[in-house]
This record gives sequence, structure tokens and C-alpha cells, in this order.
Amino acid sequence: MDIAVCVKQIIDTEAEIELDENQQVITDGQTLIMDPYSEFAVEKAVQLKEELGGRVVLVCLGDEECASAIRHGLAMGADEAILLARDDWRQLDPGQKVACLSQALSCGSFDLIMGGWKSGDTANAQVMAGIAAALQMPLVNMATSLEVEGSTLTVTCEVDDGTKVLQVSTPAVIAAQQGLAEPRYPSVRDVMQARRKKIETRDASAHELPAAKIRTIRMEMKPPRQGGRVLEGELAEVCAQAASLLRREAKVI
Amino acid sequence: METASREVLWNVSSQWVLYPCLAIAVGLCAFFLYRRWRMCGVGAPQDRSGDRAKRLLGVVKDSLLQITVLKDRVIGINHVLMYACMLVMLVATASVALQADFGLPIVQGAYYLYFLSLATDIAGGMFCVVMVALIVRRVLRRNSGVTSTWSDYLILVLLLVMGVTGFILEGLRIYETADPWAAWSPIGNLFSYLFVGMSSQTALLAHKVLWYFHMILAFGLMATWAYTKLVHVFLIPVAVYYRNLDNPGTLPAIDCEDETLETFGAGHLTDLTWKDLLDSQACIRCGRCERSCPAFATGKALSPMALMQGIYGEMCAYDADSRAGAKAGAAAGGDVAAAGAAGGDVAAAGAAAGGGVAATDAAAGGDASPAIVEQKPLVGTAISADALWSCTTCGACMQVCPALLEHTPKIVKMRTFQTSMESDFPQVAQTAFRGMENNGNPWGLGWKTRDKWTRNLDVPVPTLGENPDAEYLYWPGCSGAFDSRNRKVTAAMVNLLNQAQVSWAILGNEEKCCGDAARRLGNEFVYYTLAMENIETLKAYGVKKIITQCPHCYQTLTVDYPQLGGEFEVIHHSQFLSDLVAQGRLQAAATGTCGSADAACGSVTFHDSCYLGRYNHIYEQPRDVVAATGATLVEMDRCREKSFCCGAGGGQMWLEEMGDARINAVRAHEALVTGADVIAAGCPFCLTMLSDGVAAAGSEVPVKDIAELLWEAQPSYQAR
Repeated sequence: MDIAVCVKQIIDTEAEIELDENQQVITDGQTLIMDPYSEFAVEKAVQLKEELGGRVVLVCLGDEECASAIRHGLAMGADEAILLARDDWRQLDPGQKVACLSQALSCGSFDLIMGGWKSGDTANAQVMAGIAAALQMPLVNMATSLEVEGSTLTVTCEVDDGTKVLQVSTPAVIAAQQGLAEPRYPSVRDVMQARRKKIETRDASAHELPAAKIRTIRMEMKPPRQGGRVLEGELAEVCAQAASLLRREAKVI
Repeated sequence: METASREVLWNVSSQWVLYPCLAIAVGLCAFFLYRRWRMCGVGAPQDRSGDRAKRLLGVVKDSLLQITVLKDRVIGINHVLMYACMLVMLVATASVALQADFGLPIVQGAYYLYFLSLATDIAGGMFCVVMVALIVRRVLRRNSGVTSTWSDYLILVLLLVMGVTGFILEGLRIYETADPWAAWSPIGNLFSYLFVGMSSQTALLAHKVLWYFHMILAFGLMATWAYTKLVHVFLIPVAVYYRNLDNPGTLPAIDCEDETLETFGAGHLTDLTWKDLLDSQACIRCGRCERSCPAFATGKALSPMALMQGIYGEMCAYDADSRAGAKAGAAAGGDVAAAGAAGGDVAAAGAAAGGGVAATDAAAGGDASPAIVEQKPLVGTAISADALWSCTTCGACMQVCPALLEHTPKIVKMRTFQTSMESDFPQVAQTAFRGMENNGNPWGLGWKTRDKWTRNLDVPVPTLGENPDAEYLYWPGCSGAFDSRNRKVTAAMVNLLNQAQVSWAILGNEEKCCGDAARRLGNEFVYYTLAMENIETLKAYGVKKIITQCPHCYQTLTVDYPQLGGEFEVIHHSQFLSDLVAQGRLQAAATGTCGSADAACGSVTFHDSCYLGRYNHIYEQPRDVVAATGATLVEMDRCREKSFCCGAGGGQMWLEEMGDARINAVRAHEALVTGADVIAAGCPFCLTMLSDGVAAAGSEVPVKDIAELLWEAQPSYQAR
């Protein structure tokens, strides 16, 4: 089974985010990692490869800086990687990213296209669905388990208040949710071997893109969390106080 | 009066037969020794030469004088008695041999009376008593859980029989010769009364038969000496001689940038060094390591003794396999040679075997082709994974080992293989590894938040960037910077440094985790990356002196970093604070005047952290700091080098403790029963673990760092 996994590099999820004067996220000096949702997809893809044979190809839209995330995926067991290099990749809107990725993906004949259902930074949750539409493949979103039998995929996905189990034939797009697979920790041997795997860099800067359909007007940081307030006294008194605060200050009841 | 003496070899004829017997016994002993030497030979190289005088001194102290053996009083005294009595009897036998074989007339006069008769008689008597005591101890299981095999009993019984037959022989001789000097052999003399009335003929025959029986036993013991556990008499002095003279936590340096490195750590028997293998043979199963092991005490799978025995078992199996392989190889080699393709195929076949590590048996000496044995992984054979991951690397096992064997470095080396090569480690450690990788701290909190602790202080905290001329770099470590409880310790340190007008600064967000937990959980790669970055930063600022408040940082910076070229003067805060008090730069209160605003600090018990005490011998300074607060120090039963781990070392802080019994609960209980008003520690992990343990015990006794206690004892704190 040949699987393509779309991977994205993001700023470490624990990092303190800062904006510059143009309200752009400052990436300088930040730790860059593979997006956790991409990582779930890579892990599952590698597990399927180990079980069924085939190959896993990582496809990343980004710049040279994304090499560390790609290397991480290769160390996890992916076989090849394609970097679609564009310096302005962070500024592209989801439709433009879809255009870039789906063109590269359509060149290979993949049984399965995987990726994170959203990314940990922009959280648009549009790219995998866009790719499915562009390549006219079925999409199974928020997958938490995936089993393959021949060309039939049985996928569990998360819906409000529960899960549903779907069946779909390859080729298909599977968008990973947390729980699909627990990402492995590559050993030194894996890391060393990954260094010898090739990352094919394709210049995507000349790629004709559709006009952006979404424009970011403004970004703001969340206000810092305020400390809680401790109410003291008799139970009945405290409850009354809490209720009144919730009504008057928090305005939630 | 006639010169005191006795006829050597009285009543014994055909003594020539002893010479071939002796030759055979010595030959067999030498053969078994050679076999043991050969088994160690497959180990990886390790340099333990140099410092000969120091090494020999250790042999005198711990082999000849058995100082560490004596630290376990009851069994220690028994062992030393047995050893001393045996020595006396050995000298006596040698004296007789010198006269019989070399004609030296020494079995006479005062030497005969006082030493050969009286002293040897008493020694023999005590030896028999000790043997009986040791047998009884094993039968009644009064040996602290040490298991006994049939061979343990057999050896004791044989030695006892040797002693008793010696006395019977002496009694027969005294009776039959009516020895005028019999009074000088009191026990032999007593035995002679057993034979009163026996005919001379019977006595002579009995003596002769028994004498040969005694000799056969002696030669038998000699021949099998190096085969049975008695070989410890030879091996322990060797193990002591080649002991680790460096810090006990020293691990082999690994250069992660060396692309030719094929393996990290010890995954298979031949990855262990010859000293590791020697250790496994020198282990006499005394069980002291087990009794001091916090993991074992709380029902975990780990026993340091079982680890040694496990490695020994694997080594024997490997030796047998490679012997068998060498024989098969010799046969196959002949055929292949005839076909004109010697060696190569065998080597190729071995390479194709993959997985296991191929090893050649060089000792085969040409008559056999290199034997290629597929080795089983150590984890799962020599030690279980559960045992491997429950070690806290507290080093208590090494502290009590009478043979000075090195347990924990073996465990860490095996972890290195499991983590670095196999990526096979407890799942929970992954969070810590990734945190250290991405954010330079095991919690994985954003690295730019490291200096957050400075933001809520009412005093400025200079960074080295702001104060490049600072004399000391203060290194709060990850706990001191990120953990809310330990931030209070950091705040106390800042106040103390300022009050003593120390010229200091921090690295701030440029500081990264020292890498201790990564390294001791086997993740050399992450440790290496962190260490190299830290060393580079420290060198860039020209840092010379570093104050740490975490013994793990202290150990890593003093012992591990020099391996990578990072040489700094590192000072634990207990040392630094006690110096400041001694210099009068911080106020010291008179003992018993405890002036803290905290009412409850009349008495304090101090918990010795493993990496402060056992690993770095810092015992006095933290106590000096406690004393400087005016508090009265009360000691726990297990303190100083006998201290019991809090349960967090060796990366356990980041793992889940297996089983129900908690190491920290045991230690918290030990601290609480002292009745001290405050439990003091000098380590952020100990602080956390003991606080949890005390809380779980439903107690409200405060657990504090010594820096907090000292700061609270300062007049400037009380004036606030």
C-alpha cells in the first residue's frame, strides 16, 4: 500500500507565541516541530506499511526550515519525502495550499492520502478536505482508527457525542484525529538512517495559484489567564456569593 | 628441658603420593581460573590501569582487612573470623610443609608452642564454631532472605568436616604419642580423651585412614576452589583492584557525532566490558545490595544481585555456545578448506545471521575457525525490562557491596541500548524526552517561559547578558525555574545571594536542562544535544563558577560535562551557603535558638540525596546550613551514605512507579518517625517526593529546602 502523508511544520505547541508589529507570529527563535496531527497520520501510515508493505511518502509544503520536521517523519519510518518549497507558504490561504499539495499528490499513484484533520497552529481544518475534493476522492475526517482489508478501509471517526464507523474504498483521504496512533519515538539508529534518506525539494514558487479566498484581517493574543478567586465562609453564604458573582460579573447565568 | 616439637608427618607413609595430588589440584584450580578469565575476555575493553598504589591500597583495605565486609556487623564479624582462622591454619600447614619438603627446622620451640600449637588450635576451634553458626544461619533462614543452594551448604559442611577431622587427627596423635606438649593444643588434647582405651594398632590405623581422608578433602577443595563460589577469594581482590576510582556515576562517554558508531550502550553480552563480566563472577550473592535497594524494598522487580547473577548466567551460556560453535566451526572449517574457501563463508554466514552480534573467539588459537554465536538481548535474559526501568540509580547497592562491584552503570548502559537503539522504554518517558528536545526541560514548557520565575520577584535577577562580569553563574535548573514549589527555593536562593552580596547572574532562557534524566533513561542523543548546547553557552559567556541547587545538575555538570569538554567549577548550594555562613556573610543562629518566624523549626531532619551524598560525599555542608538556622538536627536511622532514595533519581521522576508500595512513602515515614518539626532536603526531586510522601501519610510536617530554612532564619527575612 502506497501512502502519501501531508505533513506540516508548526511552532512547538508549548511555546509562548508573540506577534510582530504586522500581527504576524514570530517564528524566529521558536522551536519548530512536526504538527502533532500530522504525526498521528505519519505513525498510522508507517504502521500500515510495516503490516502490509508498500511505501510512505511525506509531502510537505514549506521552506528549507521544515527539513527538521520532515527528517523526524523519515526517522519514524517514512521512506521518501517531497518538500514543496515556497518561501511564502505561511501566507497562503487554505485553498492555495490545497492547490500546491494536490498537484504534487496527483503525480503519484497513492492508495491512501493522509494528514492531520487540522493543524495545531492555524487550525483551519480545510486542507485535507480540499485535497479530497481536488483529487475527487472520498474523505474520512477525524479518524481515530483505521483498518485495511484489501482495498476496503474501515475507519472510525469522531462525531459530536460519539463515533461512527465508515467503510470506504481506496484511494481515499484519511484525516487523522488524536488517537489514530500513538507516535513512536525514533531510536538513534532510525535518526541516523533518516539522515541518509533523500528529501526531494521541488521549487513550488513558480506554481500558479488561485487567488486567495480568505484574508486575515487581524490577529490578537488571548488575554493572559486571570487567577481564580477563592470564596471563604459558610457553605450557604459562599454558594449565594458564587451565584451572584456568576450572574453579575461573569454573566453566565 | 627438651625443645618443644612434634614429629612432622608422624605415622604417615607413602607421602610421595601427595605431590602428584597437589599438582593435579593446582592444575585443576588453574584451569578453572583460566576458564573464568576466558569468559571475561569476550567483554569490551575498558581502561582500568593506572593509579596502582591507590588500587593496591584498596585491595589491602577491602580484601585483606575486609573493611566493607565488616560494615554488616554480625555476618561481617563471622566472615572475618572465618577468614582470619583460615589464614592462621594456612600458615601452620605451610610451616609444616616447609619443614617436611624443604628441611627448614621450624616446627619447634616457641613458634611451635605459641603459634603452631596454641594459636592454630584456637583458630581451628573458632573456625568450626563459625562454620556451625553459618550452617545454622542458613538452615534457620536467619540470613536476611539470601537464598541458599545445595552447594552453599556443601561447601560449609566440607569445611566443617575438614576442621573436625583435623582435631580428631590431632587427638589421635596426642593420645598415641603421649605428647608432652599436649596442653598447648587444648582442643586437640580434649579430643585425645575420646580415644582413651583404644588399642595402639587401631589408633594408628584410624589416624592413617583419617589423615588421607583429610588430605583428599583438602585437595578436592583446592581443585574445585576456582569452580565453586570459593573463587571469590581470588576474584574479589581482583575486582577491588580494578574498581572504579572515578565518581560512581561515571558513564562511558559517547560521541553522538561519530557516524561510525554502530551501537550505543549495552544490548548484548559482548557490549559489556570485561570488568562488567568480572563483576558478575565476583558477586558472591551476599545480598547486601538487595537489602539496601529501594526498588527491591518496595516490591519492584529489580534486585542488583539478581542482575549480577543474570549477567553471569548469560556469560556462561555464551561461553558454552561459543565453545560448541568453535568445535562445529573447526569441523566445518576443515571441509570448507578442502573446498578451497576457508573462513570466508563462515564469516558470511555469521554476518547473515543479523540481529545478534557476531563475536569471534580469538582464544580458539587456530585449531578452530572463529565461532560465531548469536547473542540474545540482555534485557529479557539477564534482567527483565521491569527491573531495568525500576532502578533509581541511587547507588546504595554499590555503597554496601563488599566487592565494590558496579551495579548502576550496567543498568544505565543497558537502558542506553534500549532507548537509543531499540526505542524500547516506558511510554511515559516520551513526554519528558520530547520536552527536553523541543523546549530544553522535561515538562516541555515553552523554553521562553524559563525565566518566568524572575518576573514575580521584588528584586531584579540579572542575566549574564546584563551582568557579564558576574563571578558566579547561578543555575536554578529546570525544577528551580519551572516547578512552582521549587521556585520558592530559587527565590530564597536569590535573597541569600543578594544578602551575602555575591556577584551573580543567571543564564535565563539560555539555560537548558542539564540532561541528567535523559542520560539516565538511556537517551544519549538528547543528553548530548542538551549538554553540548549548554557547554557552548557557558563557554561563550566565559563562565567559570556555577552554583546549582539540584544534585542532579551538580553531578551532570561535574562528572558528565567534562567528558564533552565542559570543565567548570561547580558548587552545590549547600556548599556555597555553608561557606557564606562560615565567612560571616550570612547570619548563623546558635543551635537550639531557632529564630524562624515559622514556629515549627525546633528540630530538623535532613534527608541525604543520593547524588549529593553517596555520589559526591557532600554530607556535612547541608547539615552545617541546617545548624546555622539554629535548629537542632535529628538524624534518620538511614542517613549519610546509608540514606534511602526518595524514589525520583535515574529519571524515575518522569516514569510511573510500578506496584503499590511507594519509595517516597517509605522514606517519608522514616523522616516522620524522627519526630522532627521540619524535614529538610537539598534536592528539588527529593523535595517533591518527600512532600508527596508526607502528604500521603496525612502529616502536615513541612518539607523544605535548606536554602529556604536559612533564608527564613535571616534577620532580614524576619524583619519583613
